[in-house]
Amino acid sequence: MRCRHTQAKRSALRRAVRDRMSSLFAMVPALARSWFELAALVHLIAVVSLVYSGTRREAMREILYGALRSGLWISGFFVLFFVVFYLVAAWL
Amino acid sequence: MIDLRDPRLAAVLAWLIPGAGHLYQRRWPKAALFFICILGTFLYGMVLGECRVVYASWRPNDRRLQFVCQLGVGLPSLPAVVEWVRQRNGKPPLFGGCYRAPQVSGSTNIPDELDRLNRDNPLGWDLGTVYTMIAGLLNLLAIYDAYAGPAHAVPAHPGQEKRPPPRRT
Repeated sequence: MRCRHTQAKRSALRRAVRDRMSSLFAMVPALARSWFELAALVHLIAVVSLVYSGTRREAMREILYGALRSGLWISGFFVLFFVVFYLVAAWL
Repeated sequence: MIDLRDPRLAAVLAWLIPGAGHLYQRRWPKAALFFICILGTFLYGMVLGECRVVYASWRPNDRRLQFVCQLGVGLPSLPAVVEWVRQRNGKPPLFGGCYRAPQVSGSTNIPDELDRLNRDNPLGWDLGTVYTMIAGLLNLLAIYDAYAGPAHAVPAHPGQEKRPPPRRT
């Protein structure tokens, strides 16, 4: 009896994981459709990083290095927020 | 040490054309950087919005607060002010419809030109507006840099930088 109960729980968990994964894969075409928005985002990140870094430093080498760091920070935050929002949306 | 020449003139020039203030100060690489990045973003936004996203308007159904940010780019956004004045005086457009505020109806229920522009090119309209606004805001940073120099600059007089206190043994 107990064994059957554990099996049912496992299969429910497996089904839930499969549903979540399928919803994740279902997002891929939507992401591909919105490649234009993503390209726009990359462009904006690059420009904002370069100009911000340009107002902090004077030498071009330092500006480029600072822009790379700023760009990575901004991208990191975007990825973090994407993951958090995705998990919240998936579990709601 | 960076020679800022006349900082006020540099700031005005930087507002008028992104990078012009730095060009006046002979800071060539930064002039090129700001010119390409800021003006490129502004022009790309204009292209995305089919030249209609930059306009001045203060009508009951269309208060264009975005123009305050777009005005930061300076000269490239100023034709919108000219068009606004001409439109108020009932004169024909100067730039072939560019910079002209779209027609709005008196009621929100009646579809007008602004609705059509949003419907026909929704992504381009929104992205174009955002791009031109961000270009204007970024130019404010460039103007401040032309006026006051970079935040992490080399000190004017060597030896003025803070040194750690000597360690006592």
